[in-house]
Amino acid sequence: MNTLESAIQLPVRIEQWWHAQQKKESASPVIERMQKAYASFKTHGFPHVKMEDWKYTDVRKVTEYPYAWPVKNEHRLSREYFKSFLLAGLKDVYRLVFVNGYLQEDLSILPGGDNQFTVTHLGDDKGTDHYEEYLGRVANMDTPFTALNTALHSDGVLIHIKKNAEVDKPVLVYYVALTDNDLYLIQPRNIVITEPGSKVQFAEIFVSKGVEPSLTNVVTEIKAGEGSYVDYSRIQMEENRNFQISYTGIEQQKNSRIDTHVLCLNGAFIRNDLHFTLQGSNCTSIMNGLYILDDEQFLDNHTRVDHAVPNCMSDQLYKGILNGKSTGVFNGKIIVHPDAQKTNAYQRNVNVLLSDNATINTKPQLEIFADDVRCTHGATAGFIDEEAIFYMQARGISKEEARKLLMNAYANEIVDKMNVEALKDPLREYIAQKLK
Amino acid sequence: MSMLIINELHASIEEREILKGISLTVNPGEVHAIMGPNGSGKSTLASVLAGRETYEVTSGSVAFDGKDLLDMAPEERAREGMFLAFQYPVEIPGVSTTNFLKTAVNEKRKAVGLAPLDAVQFMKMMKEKMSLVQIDQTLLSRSLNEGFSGGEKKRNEIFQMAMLEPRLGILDETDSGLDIDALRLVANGVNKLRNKDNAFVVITHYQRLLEYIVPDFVHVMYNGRLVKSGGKELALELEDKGYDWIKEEAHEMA
Repeated sequence: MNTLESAIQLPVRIEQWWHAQQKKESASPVIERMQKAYASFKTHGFPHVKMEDWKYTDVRKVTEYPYAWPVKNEHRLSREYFKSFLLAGLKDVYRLVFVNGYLQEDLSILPGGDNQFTVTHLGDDKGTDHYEEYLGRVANMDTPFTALNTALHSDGVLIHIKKNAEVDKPVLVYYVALTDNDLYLIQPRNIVITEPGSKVQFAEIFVSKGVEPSLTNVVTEIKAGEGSYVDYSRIQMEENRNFQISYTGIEQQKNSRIDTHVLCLNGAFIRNDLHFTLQGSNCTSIMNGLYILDDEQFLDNHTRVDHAVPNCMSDQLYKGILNGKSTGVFNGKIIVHPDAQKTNAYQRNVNVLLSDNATINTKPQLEIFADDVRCTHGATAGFIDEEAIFYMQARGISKEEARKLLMNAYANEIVDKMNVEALKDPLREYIAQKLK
Repeated sequence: MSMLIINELHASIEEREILKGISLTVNPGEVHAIMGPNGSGKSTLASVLAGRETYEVTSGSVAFDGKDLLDMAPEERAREGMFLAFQYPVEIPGVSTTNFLKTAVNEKRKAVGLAPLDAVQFMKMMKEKMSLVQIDQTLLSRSLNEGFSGGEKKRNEIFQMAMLEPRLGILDETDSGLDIDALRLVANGVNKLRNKDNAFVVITHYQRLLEYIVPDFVHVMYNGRLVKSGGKELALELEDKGYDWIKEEAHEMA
């Protein structure tokens, strides 16, 4: 890239990409929605630290790079190369692989028939009914990055779980960022629809390889039908030069249950937004989170649960380990709207600081507008339990070993809660490595 | 050779002197009881011997099997055969007693050049020692001490001691908070572990425990010093007369 080109600011580049994309599309309701999203992004621009939701998260750290727009099919992974990535090559799974934001279909593993679920490739056909029906229905368009993704996503799939289907293997979606040649803005967009009574385990796994930075701005929308059960994992393990901004919007109909497991294990800069809207009664929403930061890594987890109807339960436990000069942010909003009587909402954020130079900003936020509810919340930040270390030493275990035992046990409480068994052992191993 | 020789040991915390010259010799096969009123420094002595960093040893020496104990890290002391049964056993969430002990036993074996125990050998050893203290298997698969009752925690300490087979066991107020049945179980466990090669230092406020673990020597600690020593009958005398006469004697001496 020549210097003249790299001097062009990202918003200007985005405008260029937008116009190039517009030339290719003809008018349709989907295109209209995208135009609206683009207009919103253009009006507001990138968020800044004077905005309450971005107070500790200065996105200039990741938006001031001269990203290129990845070209479809420019980067392809051989099967062997793909398998060299963390958590790749697991057996007994369904699989979809995105490379720099584009689905690489020859790496997909999908069921033979279509009796369990269908996968529609959004990139192929922006005119399909599904696309029109679901794009941007769950995601909150007020956030600038979500608007940007809606306007200008590279590719995506719609995973549609059929009524009463119990998907027999976990569905794993891999996002691989390859930045050996250039730095990229990567914007995949996926939608998961579970019809009533269905059951699925769904995981998103983020990995990277390369010498240049990348910014992945990913949006996932999950619409859980009545009585359906979704087990959702998000595992972030990109390298120390990669940035990520992710939004997961979840809408639940009555009697549905969603377990989420958000594991932020590596990456230079991560901002996660996880937003639940409970639209039917008797919903259960579980939020398990783990983050392990070191060096100068930055992570911001924003979660929000909107209890809009009665008799729902949300339970959140986010645990952090911060080492080096890392910075973590936790902001957990639980809003109990006036009609949401008999809500049970629990929230806990606990942090261990392993270094004097690490920082955690934690803000549990309960806003309750109903009177017959049970809600608890708490946040703690502390150093490693020296008394526990001494206790182990007094049994002949070295200080180093004691610290490792303690921290692995602390982290694995979250891994133990995961339901995709195949992921658990490799994750425990990865965590043990990182905590060394 | 004496197992433990404490010579004129002084220790302080935040510049406040707690141990003001302790001398004590323990030989293999002996049980020593250290009694005394609250705040006399009994638990501090236990902590200093185990190597707790919050205390600073200002002078004196401690030899353990001829080696300089004060020069060793806490884990080295444990591997050399010292065991402290904690007054307040620490809860370790997420680590089962089984896993914890497997690590500890194998660290100790490694230190003396033995191969680690495999799963089968380890389970066999566990079963054997479990019967000693009558501890339940389900308790051992739970997170270490987490949600254990007071009695369960203390029994778990004795179980760990049985597993690690120390040369010197220091029991820091192991009887506190125990009802009579739990006390008996704990004492029986200790008695079964007693032999001619090991030794115990039993720290207690009350004489009650010493009815079950019968000591060879009783020492009374007051104000950071061992002010009186005798046989097991001294414990009965203290039970009878309380600690006031000891305090008076100590003040007269000073």
